[in-house]
Amino acid sequence: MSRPLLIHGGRIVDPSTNLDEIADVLVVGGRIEAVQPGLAGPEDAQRIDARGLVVSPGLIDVHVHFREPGGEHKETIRTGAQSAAAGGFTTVWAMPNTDPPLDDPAAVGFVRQEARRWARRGEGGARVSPVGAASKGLAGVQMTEIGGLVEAGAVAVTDDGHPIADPVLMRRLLEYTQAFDIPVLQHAEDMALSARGVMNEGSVATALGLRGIPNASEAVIVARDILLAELTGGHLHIQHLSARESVEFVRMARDRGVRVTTELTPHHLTLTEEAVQGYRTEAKMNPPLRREEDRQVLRQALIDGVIEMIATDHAPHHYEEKEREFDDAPFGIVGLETALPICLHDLVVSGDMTLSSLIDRMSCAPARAMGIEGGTLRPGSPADIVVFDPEASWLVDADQFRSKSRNTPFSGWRVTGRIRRTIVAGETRFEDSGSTT
Amino acid sequence: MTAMGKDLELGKDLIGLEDLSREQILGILDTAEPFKEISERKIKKVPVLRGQTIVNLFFEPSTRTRISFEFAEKRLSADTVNISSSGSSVQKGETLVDTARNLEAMRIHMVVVRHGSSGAARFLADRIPSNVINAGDGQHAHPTQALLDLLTIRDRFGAIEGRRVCIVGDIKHSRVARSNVTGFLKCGAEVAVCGPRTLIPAGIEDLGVQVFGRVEEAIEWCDVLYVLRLQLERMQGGYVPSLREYNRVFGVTSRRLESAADDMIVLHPGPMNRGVEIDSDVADGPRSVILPQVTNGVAVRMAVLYLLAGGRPELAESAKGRMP
Amino acid sequence: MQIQTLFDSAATQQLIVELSEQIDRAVEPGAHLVLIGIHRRGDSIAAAIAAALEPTRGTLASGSLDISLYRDDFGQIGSLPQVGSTTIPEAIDDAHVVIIDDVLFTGRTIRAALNELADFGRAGKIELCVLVDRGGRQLPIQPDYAGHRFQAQPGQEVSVRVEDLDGAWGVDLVGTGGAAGAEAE
Repeated sequence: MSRPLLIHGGRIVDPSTNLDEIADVLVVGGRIEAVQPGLAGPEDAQRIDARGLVVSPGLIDVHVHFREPGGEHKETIRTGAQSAAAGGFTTVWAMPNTDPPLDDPAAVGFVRQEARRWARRGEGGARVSPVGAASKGLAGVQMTEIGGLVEAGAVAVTDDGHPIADPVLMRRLLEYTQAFDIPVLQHAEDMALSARGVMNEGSVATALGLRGIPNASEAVIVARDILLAELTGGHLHIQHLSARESVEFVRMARDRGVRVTTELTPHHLTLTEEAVQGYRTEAKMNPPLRREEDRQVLRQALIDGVIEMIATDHAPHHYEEKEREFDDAPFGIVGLETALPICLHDLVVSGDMTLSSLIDRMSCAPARAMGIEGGTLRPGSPADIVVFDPEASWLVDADQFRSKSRNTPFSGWRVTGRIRRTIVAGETRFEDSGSTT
Repeated sequence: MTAMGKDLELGKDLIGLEDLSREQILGILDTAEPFKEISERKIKKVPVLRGQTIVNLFFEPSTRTRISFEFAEKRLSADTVNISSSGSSVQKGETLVDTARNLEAMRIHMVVVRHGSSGAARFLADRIPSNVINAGDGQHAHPTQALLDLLTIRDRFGAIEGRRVCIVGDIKHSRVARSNVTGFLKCGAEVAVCGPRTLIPAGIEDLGVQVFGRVEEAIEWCDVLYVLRLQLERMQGGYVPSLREYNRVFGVTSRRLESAADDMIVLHPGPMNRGVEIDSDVADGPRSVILPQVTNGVAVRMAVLYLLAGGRPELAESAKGRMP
Repeated sequence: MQIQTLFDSAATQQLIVELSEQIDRAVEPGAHLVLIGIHRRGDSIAAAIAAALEPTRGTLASGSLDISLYRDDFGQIGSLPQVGSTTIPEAIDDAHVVIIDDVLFTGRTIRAALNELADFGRAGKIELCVLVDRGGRQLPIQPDYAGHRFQAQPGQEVSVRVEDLDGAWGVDLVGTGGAAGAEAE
């Protein structure tokens, strides 16, 4: 086990314990030992000067794609985990739409083992929790052996990349998963309504001559699945909300006590369909960037807590795959290394959200909603910690990413907040010396 | 010798009319006027583009547009090479970016490109130093078609400003409709579209366009009725129940034209489905300017080739900066 | 910029009368005479000559050539030349064509005009008539009829004014000469 760690003089922001004050954090044996001002710590402790920096529970992202196995030219479990750590994340959930997909216990076990193997070799990053496929081959027909997947380490099931289209399968999943107390993650989309669309439906798509995806394509599935969650009592987690209508249904579900949780990506928080102008494939994602009205409703829902968490939907693609006609380019962008600064800049610097609330949405809330460890600095918890400079202003440069891929629409953006250190189980997995550009 | 104003410098490429000002559009039409006469000469050829190599790069089958461009190029004495690929570049295994690099390596002057994906012409233009002319990209734009339509309307009415133009048919899937809407609006016309609501794209009103649900209303309103081809594959998409039904509700027939203004004209970009979107007696009737459209197509394309070829490369960069 | 008037309105019109008389003397009676002006001031001079010849030759066929598309400096000049219209009255095969321009300088315009004219047919004979020959040829081209010949300096420009475009006839010499580089004709 690693040396004890004393992080001193930082501003502790931990919404799970209602803490926002200058204090020290002592880590012993990979767990939080104490959080209070003026801690001395053992003699052999490694001392980390956090004066002027924020010390928070490590960030949690329940939606990333690490592409391994099968897409190692885009990302691997090693580079993905390192990218996550560089973004301040200590736990990420890896989606099962790999090749082959994570639809059997061996594949699920591989992802977990691979992350641990690199960590043992000193090249680890965030903890990587595999999410199992909901259906065999992600085909949307036959349920996977979910019990086996959970035994192998799966923390949830999903067919993400594809929606679970069949309402009967969705109902069965919401029923069957209750035995394991795991959520069903849904990419809410009616593929028939999307009709091979490549961006939001509306005047921008019309002017560009691109096929549009209407808001209703998402909202009809959100509504349907909320009703199925109500019917079954299962835990439905709706991924990457994009349409304002979806928010209305989620609000209604809350009022009716339905067990539904949701996430918002940093790009849907900050961008609109206008980003596609000029056929920019780095603004091609699914669900698509919507209109300003949608963005405003989603943003307010995050502030109000109706949407309880931020997730990146980190979707690496190789340069060549994005460097082509808009219709043929794949959906998705990388997001792990820009998430905190983008959100800090948009929500906290603007004064619309407190830093504490943002840490809640990016760390405590996902832990709470999904019932997993982390998201707190309470003594006895795993020492998953992020230390960041909340004021540092810098220009996003995709060439500096730890991720294997560079597909981001945020290149050249001036953002606020820079990760200085990411600690997983008391071990530093990322460190930035502190020079800012 | 008079020099043209800076307004007519088109920059390196012609991708869409949205990149041009009204003055630039009208300047192209003015330039097309003297080119009409060349096609009437005994020897239909002038040497202005001698030594220039033009590649007609067609990823989608097209007869009319390619032939019209080829006539224009040959009448300006350019050397032309036709590259046709019916499958998409992706099926063929070569990406568009590789195609672009290969063309660049062959030191050609201009590329006329037709491609099935919206934005493909812009994509190519941004990656090669040659002039790129968009001959149709997906559902985005077909700027030379719109220019020849504008010229045809101006020939008939003297001016485009203030005219009422209604485009009838499958607006949703039509690059011709998009380029024409842009061109007509830029030139000061009032623009409407008409067709089954399934074939009217979302948000078109936001572009400054009126929508008519009934073709009878459109005919009474407009000076120019622009009839689009109904792609027969729209039946499979379920956008309209049948060709017969389409003709019954939206077909442009001489009976429907009885309520039109006396000087109202009918355009069609071709090829026509006679008896579907337009009846033969209308297509061949006195209101039809469909054949003048074809003649004007060559003149407009000659004008565009001339203007782009004469522009200096360093102007291309500053022109790009002017684009919105 | 120094401007010196070489010929005033009356003197310029006298030059045109003299040119008309030269043509009338040289071209055999009964020949199929066609006057082709070079766009734009050549057109005006051609029309004036046609009018002067009408009493003896009747109404002559006349046309206009725009040589923009036959220039040898396409793509090198700063701005694109505006393409004017070309009208050639009828078949010129076997006709006696007189090309008419305002100023003869390098000869490149006439080279272009000859090429263009060849695309309309095979004239029996082609002659060149200019109001002013200012010297400075870059091609082996000489006028058959010239109203006035002199050797201008390289930096100087001879500018012809015509009644229909400029309000009055006249010939001016612009600049003092000696400036580097030949101007475009």
